[in-house]
Amino acid sequence: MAHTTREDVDATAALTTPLAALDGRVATIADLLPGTTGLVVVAERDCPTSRGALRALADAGAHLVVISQGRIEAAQDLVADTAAHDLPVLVEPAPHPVSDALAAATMPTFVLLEDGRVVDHLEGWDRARVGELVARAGGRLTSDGGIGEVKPGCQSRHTFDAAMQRRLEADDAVLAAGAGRVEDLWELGWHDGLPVVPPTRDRVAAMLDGRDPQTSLGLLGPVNAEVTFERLAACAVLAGCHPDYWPVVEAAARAVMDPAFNPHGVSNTTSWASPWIVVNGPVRHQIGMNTGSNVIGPGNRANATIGRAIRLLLQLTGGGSPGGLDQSALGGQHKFTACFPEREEASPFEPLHTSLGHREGTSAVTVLAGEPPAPVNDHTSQTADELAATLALAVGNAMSPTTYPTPGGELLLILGTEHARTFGAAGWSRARLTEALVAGSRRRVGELQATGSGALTPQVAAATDPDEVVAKITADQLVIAVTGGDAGRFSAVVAPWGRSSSMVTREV
Amino acid sequence: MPTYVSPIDDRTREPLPAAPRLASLDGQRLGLLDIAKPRSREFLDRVEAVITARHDVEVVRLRKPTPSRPAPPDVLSEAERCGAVLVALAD
Repeated sequence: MAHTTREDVDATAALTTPLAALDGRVATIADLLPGTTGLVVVAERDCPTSRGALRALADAGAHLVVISQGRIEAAQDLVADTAAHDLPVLVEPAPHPVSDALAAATMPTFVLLEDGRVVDHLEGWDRARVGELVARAGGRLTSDGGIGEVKPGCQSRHTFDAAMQRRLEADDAVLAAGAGRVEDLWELGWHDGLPVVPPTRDRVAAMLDGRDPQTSLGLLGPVNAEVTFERLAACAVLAGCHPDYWPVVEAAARAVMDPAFNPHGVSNTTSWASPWIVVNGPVRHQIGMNTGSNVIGPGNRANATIGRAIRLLLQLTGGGSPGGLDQSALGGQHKFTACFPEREEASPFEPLHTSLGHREGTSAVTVLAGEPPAPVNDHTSQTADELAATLALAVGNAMSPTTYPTPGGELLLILGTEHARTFGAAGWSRARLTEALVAGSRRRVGELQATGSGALTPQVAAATDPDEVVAKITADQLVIAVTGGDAGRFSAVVAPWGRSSSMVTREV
Repeated sequence: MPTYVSPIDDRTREPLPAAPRLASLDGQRLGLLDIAKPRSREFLDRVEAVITARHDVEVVRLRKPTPSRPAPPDVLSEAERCGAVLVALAD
């Protein structure tokens, strides 16, 4: 903030530059500030200090004119946000010659003029000083605009380099095209706690790319909403999907809406259940999915936004809203998004979807209701048998260490690429690893009874022979997807929800 | 605010009207719906004993196969033939 009198500033050029007013007329500062003393306020919509200043000035009754940096839509927004409808506003587009001439380096800048000369100059917000300037301009400051006594300002657009100025102009152009504002979506409640992309008609139309928006995929619980292409596309836009992702989004939506998946229950449960989506086939590369490091983590638009679109579909369209009908006790990060491609190229096994009977060369999505991923860290096992033993322990702990047998659903083993190589080098197939995990996760009931846990299943609790062996899981319930970066001997176990949801695979 | 394309089926936001209250249980067909959570049945056994001791009702016991899926059509159609249904949540 500069408390300086800028007598060095020659405002002549600024005062006589023609600018558009909000009513479409063209005027200069000199036109709007006749008389001897007046205040020029240079402000910018995206600057909170500017908005606070205008709120404070809106009813101060001073002889002033506002210069709004950017396009006319930005000025309209600024006025609407600050209730400054009665203030005269001039729109100053790039490259902002008036701001430059007034040396308005910070938003807002206050410039007091007397007989066309600059007699005072203030940058940023200082309520006492602005009060003085307003008084000298014939008004009275009665409000702090919600920004207190002192608040630093924001950088003026004219001080940015040309490239940054072009980007700011492009942002304004998007706004002018009716792109909407993230703030609106908070108000509507169409979000998952993170910012979303406003589903404007243009964006939804681009997502649908000529498909009939009224095509129905059926009803989705818990609220039994009709899922149309248009509503699904709105979710995909909100999630940040590129239109190229649509075929995968549609296939995933059809999969979660399959009664076998039971989206109604998945959305309502107090547990962690949420769709995990595995993508197979050529579509993975066609839409630029990441199969490498951080495959179930951040960094790739397709991985992140396809899963998010399905979550928003369940939450917004289906009505499984967190805190509303979604009563999950703890939730989980996978409930923002959980979608990844199998890294078929680095897998010693056949791809997941062909192992489930789909033709080679097709693309497919597989959805299953699962919990957060539980890590398996094994950097030292040297043989396939040793590594399978570690993984089997993790399988045995899924849901709860005492859950014997798993009541239903499918367990997803996300097998890291390095772990997969160990099995590949030993010549193991998907079936052999499955068999080893089923066998290795069995327990003697005596072992479970000896834990003292009160959460034994009725079958285990009632067993009388301590040497009776109970299986954790069947081969049909075990789903293995190979994926992830080249380095790091890590895998993860996604526990099933239980008997009320079954895995569904759909071709893209 | 500009007009956005809504992901929401507005029909699902209209509140459903509550069914009219019964003036009396007497003479009614009363459904007791066990949602299949543990101990639901024992709880409803007790409810049935208390209610039948006090009211002249015909009790129909209904059961969902699992708590985590919507009730199947045959259970719903049986429930529709009742004057009232009590749903037991448990665990």
